[in-house]
Amino acid sequence: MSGAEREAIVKAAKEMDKALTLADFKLGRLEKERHTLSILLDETIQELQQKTVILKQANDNLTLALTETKSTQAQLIHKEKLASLGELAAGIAHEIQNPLNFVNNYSEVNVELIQELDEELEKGNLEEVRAILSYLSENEQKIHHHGRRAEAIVRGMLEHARATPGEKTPTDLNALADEYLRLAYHGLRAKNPEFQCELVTDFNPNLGSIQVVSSEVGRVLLNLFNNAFYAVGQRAVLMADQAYTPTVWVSAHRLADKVEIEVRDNGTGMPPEVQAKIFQPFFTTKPTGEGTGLGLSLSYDIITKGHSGGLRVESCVGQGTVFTIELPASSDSGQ
Amino acid sequence: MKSKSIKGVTIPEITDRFDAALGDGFKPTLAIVFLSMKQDRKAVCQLLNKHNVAIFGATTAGEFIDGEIGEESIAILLMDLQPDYFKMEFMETGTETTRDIARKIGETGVSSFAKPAFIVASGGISTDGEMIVRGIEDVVGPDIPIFGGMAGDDFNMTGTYVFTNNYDSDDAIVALILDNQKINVQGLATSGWRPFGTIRTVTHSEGNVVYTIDDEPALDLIIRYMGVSKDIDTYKEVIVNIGSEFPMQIQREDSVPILRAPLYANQSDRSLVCAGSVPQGAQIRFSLPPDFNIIEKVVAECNEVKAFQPLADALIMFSCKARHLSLGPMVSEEIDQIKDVWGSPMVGFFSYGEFGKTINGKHEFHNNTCSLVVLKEN
Repeated sequence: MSGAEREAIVKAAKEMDKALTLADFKLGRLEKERHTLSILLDETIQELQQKTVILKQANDNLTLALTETKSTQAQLIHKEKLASLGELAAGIAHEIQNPLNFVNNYSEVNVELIQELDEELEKGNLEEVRAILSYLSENEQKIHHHGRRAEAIVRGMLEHARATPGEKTPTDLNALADEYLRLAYHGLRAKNPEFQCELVTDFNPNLGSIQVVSSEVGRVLLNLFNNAFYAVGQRAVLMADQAYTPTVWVSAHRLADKVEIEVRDNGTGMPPEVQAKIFQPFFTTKPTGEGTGLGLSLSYDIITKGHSGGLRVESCVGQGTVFTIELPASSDSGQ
Repeated sequence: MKSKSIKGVTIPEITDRFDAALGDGFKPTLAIVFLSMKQDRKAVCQLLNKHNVAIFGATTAGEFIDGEIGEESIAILLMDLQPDYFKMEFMETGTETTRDIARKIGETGVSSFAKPAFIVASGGISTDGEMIVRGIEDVVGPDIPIFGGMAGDDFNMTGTYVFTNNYDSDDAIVALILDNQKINVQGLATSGWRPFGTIRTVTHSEGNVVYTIDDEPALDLIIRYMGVSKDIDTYKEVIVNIGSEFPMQIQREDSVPILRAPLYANQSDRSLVCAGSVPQGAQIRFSLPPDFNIIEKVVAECNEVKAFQPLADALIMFSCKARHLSLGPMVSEEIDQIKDVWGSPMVGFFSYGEFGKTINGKHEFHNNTCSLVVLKEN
């Protein structure tokens, strides 16, 4: 073997040795890493399992909480309906009293007419008998008419308190607004005979009928009217020794693709920070026990979610407040 | 600027090679000296003092001038840099804080040069390297170059030293402040450690001591990953190896994670003393060592630096001891290939913490990193 060959062999052996050392090192390190990674994998799986259990528990709790919230919410909405019904009760009583008076008066008249009829029959005065029968028939129609009127008011009241919303039907919003305005006003007057307020209405006769759930929109109107009366009442107290005519204006207009109902008052008005919160549930400026804080929040939901409309407010402290309900006329089936 | 690197295992050997280096009329003014605790620092200093060479010295956990890594040896980089282009500072901590003395170094820097650059080494096993960067930054701002390393002690973890011509201390900072308008200082800090496992939270820490991670004693957690028994007798080996095994990557919002390696553990409270601050509440991930292809990546990054610094008069490398342990024989290959990028004389050592910048980051204190400094006289 020549010197050069020996040198080449030694060099090759050295390189081989170096490569072996490197391979040996890499193998050792890989083995170490494998060990660590297997521990890590175990740990990660354990952690995942623990987290799965925690997540499931959290999910169960949330589901339960959601169910409870929904049921509480339903109860609250129902309570609010009953509360507004309470506000209506006095107005309803006032409204029913009218037809009842008619029914009573006409039936009393009829009793007398029947006596007269009996007498005329004895006399054989057929001419008179026919005339009395004709009065009787007219009076019976009036009794029936006012009976139906009372029935409609009671039906409306029941509708108002229903737990589930009713169907959308073509509704004369002018009539609805007018009826609820009177119910609200008389309801308040029944509770507080001192209360005085000028009511100014401006109903556009060409409004047409609009597809709404009348009991729901009625509740919204009732709410806005009650708030307006409350605001003017408060201002009346503040301005006790000054000239002030509490006034509530209600108007309905037809625009191109929508109908607007405006409820305006010259009451106390609201600062911007109150305006920002009035549609939040449970927000109220009324003393404890006087407001649920749900009226406007539910009204907002009824108009925006239930009827794809809008409810907005403009207010100025010391001047008054305007609430505007917008309802799309696209679903209107009238005219 | 001309530079030469020499190495040896005995004082006579170094003396011979030093004399040989001077043979062609080379007159060094500055020496970067990295040597083992076993070596006679005084004798080396005397040799250099005789020739009026300024010394920037640190003890190491291994030192090199090329891929052949010395153990318990001496490695020196000699440069004939004009004395008014640099200033050597040596500051003992004494009763002051690390940050305080780092500020003083920063002040010397700004009073000496319009644009200073800092190369620092620190002695002291539990010194928080981050405070050195912060202290200098307090004075000079965040954009001034800071490179360097924490001295080593052959991995005994008993005491690390820095030294200059007539001073030597295990509780001091030595700083080579360069006139950056005369000497271009570029560099690169690169790690390659791969994050693994889920993000964990440091639940209790003070400065650079980590007590608990996710409410578990920090040492217990690391021992679990290593898969060793908790027998107290095995602790010693565990403690020595933890830094190389599982450096923590502190997650940061706007920049890449920063590595923090445990230097040693306290058995009594099972805490870890790290080579830099680990804030309480920090989100961390542990790391696995760099892939075997790390060398190609490092060389590629060096070539990026070379693109705007094509020539070098000298190279200084501060490479983490943990990196040496995890790359094993591959680290020689890495050093050789980095050296070949510029083909300039080099000196380096295995350190307990590194100062430098990542390719897109700013100057920071790192662990488990290789920090390279490229010097070129304008």
